[in-house]
Amino acid sequence: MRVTFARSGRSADWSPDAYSLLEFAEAQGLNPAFSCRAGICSTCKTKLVAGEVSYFEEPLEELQDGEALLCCSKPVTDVVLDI
Amino acid sequence: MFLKDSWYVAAFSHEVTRSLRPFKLVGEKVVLYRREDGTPVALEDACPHRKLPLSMGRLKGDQIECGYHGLTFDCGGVCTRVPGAEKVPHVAKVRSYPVLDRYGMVWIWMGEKTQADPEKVFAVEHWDDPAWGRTTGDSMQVACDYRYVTDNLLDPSHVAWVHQSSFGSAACEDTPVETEMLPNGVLVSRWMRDVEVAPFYKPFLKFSGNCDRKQHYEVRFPSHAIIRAIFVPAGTGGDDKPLHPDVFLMDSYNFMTPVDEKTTHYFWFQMRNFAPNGEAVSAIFAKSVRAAFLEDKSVLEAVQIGMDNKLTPNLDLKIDAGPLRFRRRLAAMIAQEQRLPQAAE
Repeated sequence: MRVTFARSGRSADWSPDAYSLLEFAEAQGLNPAFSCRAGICSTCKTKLVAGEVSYFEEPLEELQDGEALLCCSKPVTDVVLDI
Repeated sequence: MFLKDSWYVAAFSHEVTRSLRPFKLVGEKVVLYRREDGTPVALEDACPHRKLPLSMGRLKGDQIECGYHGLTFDCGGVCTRVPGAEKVPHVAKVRSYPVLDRYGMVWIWMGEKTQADPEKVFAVEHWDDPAWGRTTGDSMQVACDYRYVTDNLLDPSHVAWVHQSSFGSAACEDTPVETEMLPNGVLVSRWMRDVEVAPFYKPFLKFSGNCDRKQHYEVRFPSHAIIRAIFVPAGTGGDDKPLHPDVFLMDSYNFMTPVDEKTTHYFWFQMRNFAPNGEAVSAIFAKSVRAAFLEDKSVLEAVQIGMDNKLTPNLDLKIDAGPLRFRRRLAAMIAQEQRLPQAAE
């Protein structure tokens, strides 16, 4: 699975041992805004340009289509994120 | 925003007597008294004529007489006398609330009367257990939204900074907590392994040296908490292990009754698995717990002011997961309760 960071022009293959998309992005040298890292504060909410993610922690705030919380999700398809 | 369909603590049982006493509970003015046979009564504290509080009137047998024009109401809130009128108007009535005595406290049901099942009063374990001791209980008003108190009681980590001289120890700073959604509330807990015993507990432990300590912070909707403290000798603790024979157990019961949006009446007592008749132990517990809760009061009142007047955004952190998930579910329950009467129309 390919994770593409559209705004920074980077992409990498998803590594299954990454805890979350947030950690994965950080491992790729990105620095997205975060606070709780537990699905409750929505600080890391990011536009999901393409693809699908699944949540291992239910986000406190309901997300709209095309949005993803990076701290508590993993990709299930190739994804394109607007960071 | 209050949940009405719930039993709340109105007062300690000894505070409700044969005198009329006014209370503000869950945003409503209520007068409490006892019948001649000792049964508690709770009525809306406003005469339907000119809304003078009935608590300013007189108790006549089991009935209340208004102190303005003598309108008289029975324990069910039905008007039985309007001096000077030929007939008592059907519309002359005040609301009555289900009330009962349990655990040394008077509980009141603020919602739909038909839902007031006495079985739904918060269950206190070991209340009649001859091996367990208990403190008589205490209360205080806290000038904050009751949800700041439920936040506090779903937050084991705060003891490291708020209660350094009592419940806290260095281990309380960094051990991560686990959050679990329960059908009737939220549980936040953690085991701290091989750690120093915090000052409050030290004199009461049957073992010496380090301990394994569990903090079990459970709040049930809308605002009732059981905070369990478990101390066992280091190396013997764990949810999968039987409790060590020298275990120290303290169950702290915390019942919050919202007075209004920014005032909370906070009631509590503690159960312990030793010294069933230990009055000296009870006295030390009562004094130390009150001192610790005054530390919470000072923080929570300042938090209310800080949050009301913030000029920059506040943060939510990982430790807020339990409190915020609790608030979210409670808000949904309140919204559902407020929709129901319309749905029935």
